Order: sequence, then C-alpha cells, then structure tokens
Amino acid sequence: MIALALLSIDTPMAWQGPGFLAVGPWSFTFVIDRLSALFLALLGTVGIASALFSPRYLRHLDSRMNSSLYWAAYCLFVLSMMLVFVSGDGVTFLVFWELMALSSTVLVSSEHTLHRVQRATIIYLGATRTSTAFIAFGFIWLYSMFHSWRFSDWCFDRPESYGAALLLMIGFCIKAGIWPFHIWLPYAHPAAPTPVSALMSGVMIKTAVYGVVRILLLGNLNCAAIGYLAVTLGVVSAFWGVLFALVQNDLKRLLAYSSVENVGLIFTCIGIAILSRSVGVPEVAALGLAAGLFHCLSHGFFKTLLFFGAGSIDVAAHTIELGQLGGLVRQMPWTMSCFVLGAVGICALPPLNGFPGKWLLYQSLFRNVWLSSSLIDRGLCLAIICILAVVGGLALACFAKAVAVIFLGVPRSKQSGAASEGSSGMVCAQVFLAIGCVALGLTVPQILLLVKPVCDLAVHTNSHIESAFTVDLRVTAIALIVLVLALSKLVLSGSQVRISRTWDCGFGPLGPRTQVTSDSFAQPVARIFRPILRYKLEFELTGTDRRHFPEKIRVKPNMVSLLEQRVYLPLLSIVSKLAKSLVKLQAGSIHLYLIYLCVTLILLLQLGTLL
Amino acid sequence: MILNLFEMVVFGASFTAILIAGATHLRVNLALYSVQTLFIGFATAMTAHAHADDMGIYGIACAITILKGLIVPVCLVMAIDKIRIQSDAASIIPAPLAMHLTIVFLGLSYLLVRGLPVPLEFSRGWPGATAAISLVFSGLVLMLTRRIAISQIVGFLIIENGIYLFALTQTHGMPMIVEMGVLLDVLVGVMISGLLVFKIQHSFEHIDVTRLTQLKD
Amino acid sequence: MNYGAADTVVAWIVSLFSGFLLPILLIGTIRKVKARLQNRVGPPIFQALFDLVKLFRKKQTVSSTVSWIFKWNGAINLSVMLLLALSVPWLCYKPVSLGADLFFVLYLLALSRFSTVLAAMDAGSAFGAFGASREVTISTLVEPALVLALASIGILTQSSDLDAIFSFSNAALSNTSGIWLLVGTAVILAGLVELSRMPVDDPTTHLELTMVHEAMILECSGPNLAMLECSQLLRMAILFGLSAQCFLHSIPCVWTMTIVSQGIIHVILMFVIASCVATFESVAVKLQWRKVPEFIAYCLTMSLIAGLIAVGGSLVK
Repeated sequence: MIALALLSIDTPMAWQGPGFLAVGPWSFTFVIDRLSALFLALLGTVGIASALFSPRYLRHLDSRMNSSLYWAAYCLFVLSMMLVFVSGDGVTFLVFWELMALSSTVLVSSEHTLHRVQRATIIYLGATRTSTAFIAFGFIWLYSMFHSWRFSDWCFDRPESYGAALLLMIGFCIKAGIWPFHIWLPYAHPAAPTPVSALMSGVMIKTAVYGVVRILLLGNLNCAAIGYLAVTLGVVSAFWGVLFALVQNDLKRLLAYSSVENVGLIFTCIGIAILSRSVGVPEVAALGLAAGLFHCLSHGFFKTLLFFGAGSIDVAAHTIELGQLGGLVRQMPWTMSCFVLGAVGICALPPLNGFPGKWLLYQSLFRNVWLSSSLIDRGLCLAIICILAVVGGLALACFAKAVAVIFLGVPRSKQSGAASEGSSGMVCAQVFLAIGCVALGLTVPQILLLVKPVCDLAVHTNSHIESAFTVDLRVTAIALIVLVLALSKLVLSGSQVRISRTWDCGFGPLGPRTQVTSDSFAQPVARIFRPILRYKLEFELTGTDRRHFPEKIRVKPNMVSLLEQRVYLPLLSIVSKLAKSLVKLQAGSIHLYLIYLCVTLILLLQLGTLL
Repeated sequence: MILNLFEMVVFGASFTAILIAGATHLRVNLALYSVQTLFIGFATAMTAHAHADDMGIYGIACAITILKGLIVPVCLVMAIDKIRIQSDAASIIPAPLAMHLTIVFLGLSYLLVRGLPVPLEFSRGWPGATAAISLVFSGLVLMLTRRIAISQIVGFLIIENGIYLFALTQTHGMPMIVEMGVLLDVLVGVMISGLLVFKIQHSFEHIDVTRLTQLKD
Repeated sequence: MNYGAADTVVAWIVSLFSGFLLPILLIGTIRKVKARLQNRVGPPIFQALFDLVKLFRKKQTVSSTVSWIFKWNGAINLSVMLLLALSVPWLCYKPVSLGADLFFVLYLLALSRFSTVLAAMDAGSAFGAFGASREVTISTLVEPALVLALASIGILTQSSDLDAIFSFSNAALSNTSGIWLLVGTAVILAGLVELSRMPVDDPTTHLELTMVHEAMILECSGPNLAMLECSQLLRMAILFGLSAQCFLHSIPCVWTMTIVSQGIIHVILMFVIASCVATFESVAVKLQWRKVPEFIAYCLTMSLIAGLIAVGGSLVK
C-alpha cells in the first residue's frame, strides 16, 4: 500500500500549475506545466485505481509470482512514469524513460515460469529497446544541433531538424504501439498481471503521445510530411487494431488490439495538428491537439476500467477466454455495469467520455475540408472521416460482442457458472473509474479549459478551444435519463410480466452450446474484411450421409497475422542468423579477447580524433 | 457549385461509367453504356449548337447515337444471348470496390486536368476533359477487373467514348470524315469481337480472359 | 426567421401532430400500396396504430435468462428516437432548436443500436445473436455512407449542424440540384438498410435464418415490443424525412416559397418516397446475405460522388 500513499500525493501536486524546480547536481531538470499536469492527473487516477485493484488480484496469482518484487517494480514504474512526465530535458527524459521500460519489463515477466510470458517479455523488451535507440539517436542529433538538452531550446522549424524529428516520431510510434510496430501490444498485455496491463495501456503508451506533443508539437515542428506520416499510420492502426480486436477470443488480447486502435486515433489527432499547423490552419491544429489530449485522458480511464473488468473476471472465473464465459451478469452485477459503461465509453457513444474526443477529431477533419487550401488535403480528410466511421462501427461490433459474450446469455462453462463478485477493493476501483468516465463526459467544457493553455502554446494564438465543443452532453444525458425513467414508469409499471423460456422454435430447451460464440458473432464482419485478416473457415463434416445428416461437424476459423508472418519473422530470422555469425567471435580464448580490446581502443581513439 | 446543362451531361456520362464498373450484370452494363452514349451524343449536339448550329457536327451526333448507342449494344446483346452468359465475375478486386476506385479516379482526373493546359477560350474545357479522362480510367478499370470478354469490349467502348469526348471538348470539333471513320472502325471492331467471343466460347467452352493464357501456344 | 408567440404555438402543434401521425401514416401507406400492387385490399391505413395500442395493453412474456439490459432496451430506444425526432430537422418546421450536430446524431443512433444488439443477445438465443451480428455488420458498412452523404452538404454550408445544413437561408446552395439528389439517394438507400427493409431484410417474414431486425426483437413482447416498434417507426419517419428534405432542396423553385408550402411539398414528398419504397419492395427480391455489401456499395458510391463534388466544387467557386 506504499504505492497508494505515494500516488495520492501526486494528484494534488499535479495541479500546482506552471513552475520550475531543478533537482540534482547537473542537468536533472524538471518542469511541470499544464501538459504534464494533465498527464500526471491521468497517472494519479489510474495509479490509485490500480493500486486499489492489485492486492486481491495478486492473491489470485500468489503461487506463481513474487509479490514483494511486484510491489517494488510497481512503485518504480509509477514513479518513473511520473518523472518522465515532468522531466524538462533530454537526458532526464531518457533516464526515466529507460527506468520505466525496465521496471515495466520486470512487471510483465511477473509470471516468468510460463512459456507464454517469457515470449512476451522478449518481444516487449525488443520493442522497447528499439524505441529507446531511436529516441536516443534523435536526442543526440538534436544536442549536436542546438548544444542543449533542454526541450525548450529545441526547435523544429528548420529543415535540418526534420531528420531528428522523424527519428523521434518512429521511436515514439514503437512505444505507442502504432501500426506496423504494434506487434508487442497483443503479447505484452495478456502476459502482464492485469493492474500492470491497465497501467501500461492506460498511461504508459500515453508517455509516447506526451513525448510527441512535448518535443515535436511544442517544438514548433512545421514539417507537413511528418504530419502526413502520423495521420496515415494513425488511421491505419486505428482500422487495423479494431479489426483484429473484433476477431480475438482472449479478452485481454482484444483489449490490447483496441489500445492499438485508440492510440491510432490519438496519433491521427496529433498528426492533424502538426499537418494543419504547418500549412497554416491554426484553428484546426488547436482542435486536433485538444481532441488528442482529451482522448488520451478518456482512453486512460475507460481502457483501465475494461482491463479491471477482465481482471475481475479472471479472478472469479479463472479464465478470460470468451468461449468459456457467459451469463456473468447475475453473479457479477457491479463488474458488469462498470464494463458496460466502459464499453459505451470506448465505442464513443454519447453521453460518456469517448464521444467528445471522437467528435473533436471529426470536427478537426471536417473543418480542414473547407479551410485547407490543398485539394489533396481536403480529399484525404474526407476519406479519413469515412474510415473513422467504419472504425466506429467496428468498435461497436467488437465491444457489443465482448459484453454480450461475457455477461449475457447462460454460462458456457462450469467455472463461469461458479464465479462470484470479487473483493470490495476490486469493485471500488472499477466504480471509481466508471464515475470518472461519466464525470469526464459531463465536464467537457471544463476539461477543454484546462487543455486550452497547451493548445494556445502550440498554435501561438488564442485558440478559443473551450467553446469548440458545441454538443451539450449534460442536457442529453439528463433528457435521456428522464425519458427512459418516464417511459418505463408509464409503460412498463402497469403491465404484468410472465416469466418463460427463451424461444426455442419448439425443439426443447436451449443450452449453453446453442448460443452464439464470439467467433460466430464476428464471422460476418471477418468475411467482408478477409483479405486483410487472412480469415479462413475450415469445415469438416463426417458421418455416413455427410451432406444432410452429418454426425460430427468441426469448424475452425483460421487467421494468420500477415505482418507477423511475412515481415517480422523473416526479419527476426535474419537477425538471429547475424547473431549466430557473431557467436564465432566469442571463441573463449583470452588472447582473442585482448586483441578485441586493443582494436576497440584504437577505433575509439580514432573516432575521438574525428569528432 | 452550379452545374450548367453541358457539365451535367458530361458528368452524367462519367457517372454511368462508374455504375458500369459496379454492375456485374451484362445486360445492365450494355444498357448503361447505351445511356452513356446518348449523353455523349447530346453533348455533341450541344457543341454543334454552340458552333452556330454546325450541321456536320449534328450529323455526327446522330450517327453516334444511332450507331454506338443502339446498334453496338444490340449486337453485343445478341452475342450474350448466343453464349448464354448473363453476369460477369470480378477478377482482381470485387466489383463494388472497382466502382469506388473509379470514383477515386474521377477525383484524380479532376486533379490532372487542373494541371493540363486547357484552351481557355473554351469554357467547356475543364469539365469535358475531366469527364473524358475519367471515362478512360473507368474503361481501364473495367477491363482490368472483369473476367468475361464482353466486359473487355464494353471497357474498350467506354475508353473510346472518353477519347472522343476529349477531342470534342478540347478542339473545335473533329472533321466529320475522321469521326465517321472512327465510328465505322468501332462498329466493325465490335462486330468482329462479338464473333470472336462466340468463337472462343465455342472452342474453349468459356470466355474467361484470365484463363486465355492457353492461347499463347 | 422570427416567429411570434402564436406561430410558435402553431409550430409546436403541427410538429407534435406530425411527429405522432406521420410515422403511422407512412407505414400504413407502404403496406397499403404493397397490398394494392398484389391485388389485395390490405389493412386499414391506421393498422399500425391499432397494433401498437393492442401491444401496449398486452401482458409481457420475458425469458428467464434476461438481465436489466433487455428490460430497459425498449425505453432506451424510444427515448433516443424521441430525442432525435425533436432535434433532427426531418420536418421543414421545427419548434425548438436543440442543435442537431451531424456526428452527434449518428452516434445517438449508434447508442440505440448498441442497446438493441445487447438486448438481442441477452436471452442467449442464437436467433437474436445472429440478428445482432448481422446488424453490426450492416451498420459498419452503412455508417460511412451516411456520414459522407450528410457531411458533403455540410462542407458546402461549412457547418456540421443539421439545422444549418437543411435551412433555406444559404441561397448559394439553391442551384445545386445534383449534389442534393445524390445525397437524397444515398440517404434513402442507407435508410432502407438501417430500417431493415427490402432488399436487405424482409420485415414481413419470420424466417429466422434470414432476418435481421426481426430476429433481434424476437424475444420482446407486449409493451416492450410496442416501444421498439414505435422507435422503429420514428426512425423510419426521420430517415424518410431527411431524404425528402434533400429532394426538396434539389428543386430550385422551392427555395423562394413560404415555409407553409415548403412543408406541404415536403410531406407529399415523404409519401411519394414511401410509395416508391413500397413499389420497389413489390418488384425486388430479398438479396442473398452475401450480396448485401454490394447493395450498400451503391449507397457509398452516391455519397462518394457527392463528397467529391463537395470537395472539388467548393474550390471552383
């Protein structure tokens, strides 16, 4: 519970507003301004909630992991994320960025006895190392250009700095899990303990967004090409993520892919901001940035909430396979209600908090269509609106499937039939976040007022962002609630209700196996997008009269990830081949090693004279 | 944006081309092609009107409407009846996507035309050129994404319409004799290809162009 | 436009009256026309109203496995539709301006869909779930067409507010029949899909293997079903009304008329659309499920062309 104490202080501190404090001997510079305050608030809320959630969940995993190591790494993880958000120069940022990556790796590998977890840890470690490498290169490049490590001294308005900006962009994309670097997310999230995956998905991938906004956007990047890159990758990962989320059967994998989708949306927002600022449409840039920041906050809330739902189900039913669950609404009413709220949020349905971010994004694209002067930009924005509509529809399908298959109907296995609501801590954490989701949805103008200084700073004018959100969600929410209550009071209260069986066509009672599975629910959509998903259905009918009266039917949906098979595996095999040839260098002879040392020394000295 | 009658007619032609790229029914395609040719004929007549009622261009309009809008489709319908194939199958991408692709090409041709040196004394320059280039693209898309040889013929005819429309709107009208020659060529071409389709069907028992690689020996 | 108090009262009465009566008359017209085309007498034009009254008074039969989602679904659907009916300018006259943002309206529609889909899967019946699965598939495809269609006029009016889009004050749009026709066609095609009408879904059959909307509400009965039917009727009126608005805007001479005559022409257009739908349903066959995306593709084509005109056209000006 140390974490709790530690975290409760950072939320109030986050609201101190702009201020400088320099700690340490040389260059540990920390800056807290509105931008870091926003992210710190997110971290504080999610951190508290997941600290509340952890104890009971850890007991569930007790036999398989070391809980004191978990808590130590957890505290370090939260602390390092906090320090990433407040660091004011490149070195500080990198130090805590590394600390964050390493502590999260320790957390991911909590259950390190499982083969699945080992694999996930390796993949995650690989991804995060690559990301750090890109960012470090970018930082060094920038240092050699500006002779300063401070973010405030870095400026990207000249073409020389675009290369460094590109490196940083790629590094942050890897960390955020943007297509085609999203490959680590669906491995790391299911492997990590739930509170950790909640923190990673809710906050850690947002550190990359923070980095892009802090360094590139506030560093006056005016390179339209990088804007196009961010928009394209963002849209592709939104579509890709939601499509793959829809066909997943493991709840945490589903949520991981949905994180890819949402972070893609956030990158689209930021990309639009960069793009439209560089072509001189500050109004749209401010909208895009506000949309991105708002979506960061709200995604942090509802994704954490959904991960907690997955964790509670894991504790209660000992499985998160969608094929094994069902009918949990009766045993776990609180979890169910919170999960439904989270699902409504993530599908961007009004009046919860997912909608404002999506709306602001739509608006920024929509306004760009007539404000932008380039015909290609206009067409592009209109096309993106179209794709986002598809993404919205797919997200609805995905989360309707998740809610329905987990909570509705009748249980599909004994374990899920025997499940019961978890401890009060777990329920509290979920209710806390659900209230947060509702509150965030109802206080959009206030949040936008908080975001305004950042937007003003980014576009150098008064952005009037606080009045941009013209939909009154509060009125909508009240109207909806009043109408629903009135209607049910008027219509349903008087009527008699007869309880009966579900309609079975007169064939006798329906059982758990006659229900639709998650696969069969997703099949019609998967069929339409089968070229992308590589979706195949394999049939096998056996029996004497196979056509009309098959005795046994086996249906197996088959799906391969093209990216993994065609790009990453060959790449990995090349790397491992190279590594094998490197092994020859390591012959074990001391003389050889001394020669290596000598050669390295000479090379280094040579390098020193060159620089 | 306010479209005048001429612009409506030429964009109507490219609209039918888009629909042809989406429809897989061969008869529907031919009917749409005939409508498209009517549009082109009407556009020709309007050009004739703009050129102080040039009777020669009026003649071309009539000839186009009758030959390409009536006789050619009827020939092809007869060919379809003979080979007893009603609908076509998509080859590379599904037909609906091909339709959306032609719309993208319509936008692209608009972009291309803006960069083109259009004779400015002629206010019909840009819509005509846009529609014409998009017709060419649509015909190409149709030829690329279909299996049955009849669709290839229709695609070729659409391209021909596009080229004609381009010439019509960018110049002051082609000499009548040239246009007549082209028309005759098209007519003969369609008749020969109709016969050929029948022959291929007869000797190979299919007219799937993706499988015509057997012919190379 | 400023109205006096008396005008406001009249507008309220007229809009409430039409909000109540038009949906029933529209479905009545469709059924009547269909019946006449099949040489039947057909039900009375107010049959839908009689059915609803009967359903409201009936006892409810509820499956033993359902949860609160199922029980609240009817009320949620009807309230969303009532909210939409009040805010969306599906009639030419609107007593109160709640502000109907284009994206907001579409996501409210999605909210009602979300609730219906969950309720359909609540009883654990495979029919409901198949219906739900088909519904989300179809809506995924229709959504972009609808957004694009309405957004392309929004681009020309430079506003995403549906009130501004469908107002007669922006005279620059009065001569753009082409785009209005395209958008109207796109909306009516999308409407056919959203309302689960032919050729996507046949509202009159109860063959469980093919139906979409009927399968989803298979478990509902009594007042709950009545509320769902009501919301479906309202949704039909809203979508038909929107497309009739588009067609109305495509007639240049309407722009200079008074609001009363615009309203009358608009209502007539709605009935024309209803009759056209009925005629189409009598001659068309229900599409095989795999062909449905191809049908929706035409809807998207209309919207894409409209969008293209909007993007290119705003530059030509």
